[in-house]
Amino acid sequence: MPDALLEADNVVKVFTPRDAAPWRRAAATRAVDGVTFSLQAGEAVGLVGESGCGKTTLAKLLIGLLRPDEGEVRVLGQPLQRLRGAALRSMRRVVQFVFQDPMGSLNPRLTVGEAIAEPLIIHRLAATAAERRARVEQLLASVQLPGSFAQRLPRQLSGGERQRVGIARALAVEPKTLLCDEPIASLDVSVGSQILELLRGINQRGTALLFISHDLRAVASLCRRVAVMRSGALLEEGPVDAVLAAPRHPYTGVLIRSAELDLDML
Amino acid sequence: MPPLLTVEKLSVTYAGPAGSTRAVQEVSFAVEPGEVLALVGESGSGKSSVALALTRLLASPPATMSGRVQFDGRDLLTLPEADLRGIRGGAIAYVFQDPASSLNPVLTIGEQIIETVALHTSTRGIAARRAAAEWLEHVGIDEAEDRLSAYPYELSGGMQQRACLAMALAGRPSLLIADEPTTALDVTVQVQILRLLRDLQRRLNLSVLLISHDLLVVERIAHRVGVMQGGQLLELGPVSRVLQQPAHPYTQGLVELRRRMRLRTGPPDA
Amino acid sequence: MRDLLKNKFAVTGAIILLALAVVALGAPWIAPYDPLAVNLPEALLPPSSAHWLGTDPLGRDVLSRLIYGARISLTIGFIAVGIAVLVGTVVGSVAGFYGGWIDTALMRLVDTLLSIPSVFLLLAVIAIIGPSIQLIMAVIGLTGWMGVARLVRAEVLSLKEREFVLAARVLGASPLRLLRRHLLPNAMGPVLVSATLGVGGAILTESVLSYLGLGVQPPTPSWGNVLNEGRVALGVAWWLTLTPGLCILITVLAFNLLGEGIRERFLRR
Repeated sequence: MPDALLEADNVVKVFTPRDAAPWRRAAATRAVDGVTFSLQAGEAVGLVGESGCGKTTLAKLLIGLLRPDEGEVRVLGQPLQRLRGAALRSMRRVVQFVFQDPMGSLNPRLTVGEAIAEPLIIHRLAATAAERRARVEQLLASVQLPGSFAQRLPRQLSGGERQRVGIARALAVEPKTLLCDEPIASLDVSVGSQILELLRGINQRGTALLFISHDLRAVASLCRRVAVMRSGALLEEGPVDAVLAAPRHPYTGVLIRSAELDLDML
Repeated sequence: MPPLLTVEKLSVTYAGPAGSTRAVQEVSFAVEPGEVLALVGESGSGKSSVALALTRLLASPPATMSGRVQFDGRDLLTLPEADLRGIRGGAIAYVFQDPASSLNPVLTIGEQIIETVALHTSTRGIAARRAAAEWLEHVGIDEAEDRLSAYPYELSGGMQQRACLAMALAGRPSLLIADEPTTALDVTVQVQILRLLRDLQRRLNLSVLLISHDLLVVERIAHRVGVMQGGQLLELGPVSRVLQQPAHPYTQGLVELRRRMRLRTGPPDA
Repeated sequence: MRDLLKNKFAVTGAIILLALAVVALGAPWIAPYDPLAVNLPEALLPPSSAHWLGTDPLGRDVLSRLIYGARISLTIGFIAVGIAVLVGTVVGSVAGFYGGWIDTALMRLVDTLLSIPSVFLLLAVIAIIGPSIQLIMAVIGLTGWMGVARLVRAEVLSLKEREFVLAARVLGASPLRLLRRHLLPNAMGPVLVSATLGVGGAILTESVLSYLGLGVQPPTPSWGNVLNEGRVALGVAWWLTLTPGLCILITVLAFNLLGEGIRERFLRR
């Protein structure tokens, strides 16, 4: 069987409050408590859970911003935590990330063009400045933004436009998979649905997606598989239709009825 | 019965460095006693400006308001500030989106509710404390007496929003203005708060002006809905009619979006 | 930038400093006399139309000496602060960025150095090695970098967790790139304020040194040593102490006003 694109193998991440007195074993939070999960090439998978369930921590573990305390994260079969330097950098071309806060994820002092060009520079994907400019324009077009946006600063863009820039920047390295952490949570419904459309197109062209969200409606419209997370653990996982029609775990049922704002559920 | 609140040609303009923006353009509507009227629209549509303008909560430069807001026989836009202050928090109460910033972090929630009771009713002292505890019970917070001495940071988001509701209701309002009351909350908590809002509204025969960007929320608890875009009120009518036969293309677009985002299950109690 | 211009403090400070810079740069053309020209018959003359600020015990024109002294003071101020900012930024950003034992070690070093009274250190070093302008600039700079280091460290620590920095890490940026492109440009605000105030402080320190005879050595004029030379005639020649004192006062005040203005602007962000 071919290696999964991205895998978490019984991953645990524990947070201990830093200012705990050394003699007091302070209440350590197991933010991620033994999660095993895999993403295959080309898939669109949703990870659903409420705030505090550990989904953002899991996302940071999968992308290498955090190291697991137990277990392993593997990208194309390679354990992530053993990679350093050039190997780690080349892994960045396999898995990329879209952040929740479109304003916060863009350096306020860089223009759109500079922000999108950065991965091209880091990974030497364009030989000349002219090539880089051309590639930036291509990327802007692929997220349906005009080339003239390259000169603009983040504060001159709307939330939806900034998010598109974030996606374009992540796509610059042509990653095999895109992790999106609540990419539409801070956007209006109609703008958010356009972003979902964009992501759907990206997935259809072969990039795998891991869509992390508290919004079951968005996940259901975009993903084929869904995993439900709560208190650091995966409660259940399966094809979206199956999970929605016949959830195995009562909490999943609560999530589904909450997503439909079923006020009379008990 | 006459409407509780009548808004006639309300306009709000903000003066800015780059010229003025017309955030609200001649919006007219009425809120009947005992009904939930929702204003739905995206960010920038002016719906929040309407909510704040009703009791002149907008900073008056840079905002200028015109039109009439009739409440209890008086025009709120021209009422003297002292009289208006008696109405704000009393007959007209607000609940906002972010409970954490609506609550004073250095006061216990008991102190904050008692403050409302003292300002808008004649209850004082121990009776006021008892009233505060009762309101906490009304909004579904158990062990209300103990909770009175809790600070906001000790409560979860949902509990904080319940406390804000208690604060709003303690002034015995006839109109509750709720601006995106559940948007910042987790989805399971949203359901609880909306159900609470619906039940309280029925029990107390409260009128509610609900501001939301989410048609689903509107569908669940509102009787009538007005659709706003670019500062204008595009259409207004009973929820079932607007959602099934939207008159304006913008509304049609919103309804279509809502339909597409429906989960692939049947109706909720299936 | 536009709102900086609206700030009265900053504008006043900037205008004064601009005037000062013009005077310092244009010294050869502006100064009425040669600052080194000894003219004993004209010693200790009070201000007059020939010598606007009078003459010193050796008959040299005080105005000209102060104009050339401005050059010295400004140069020392800027270079000393430049050294402090350079060293402080490097240490602070390394400490803030890497954290852990590196941070602890560097910050303990900073604390230790901060506990040494800098004036005494200055006096000691200069007394041992001998005064020279380069040494003065170096020592003032090297006793002043610690504050900058703390500031930079604090900014880097808070910026490190911002999403756009995480985004750059995820894109594969190296630590150097992160610092150069993302962290430092956004961290330099408070450093700028501190630097502005620091130049005033450095000029003051140089004046103190010169007053004590350990600063710029005569005959090269500096505000401090003009003050010092005026000490012997304090009773009779008030202009010899008042005028350099005023220069120092106005310059340091101007830098402080500018610094306050910049700080206000950054606070409002």
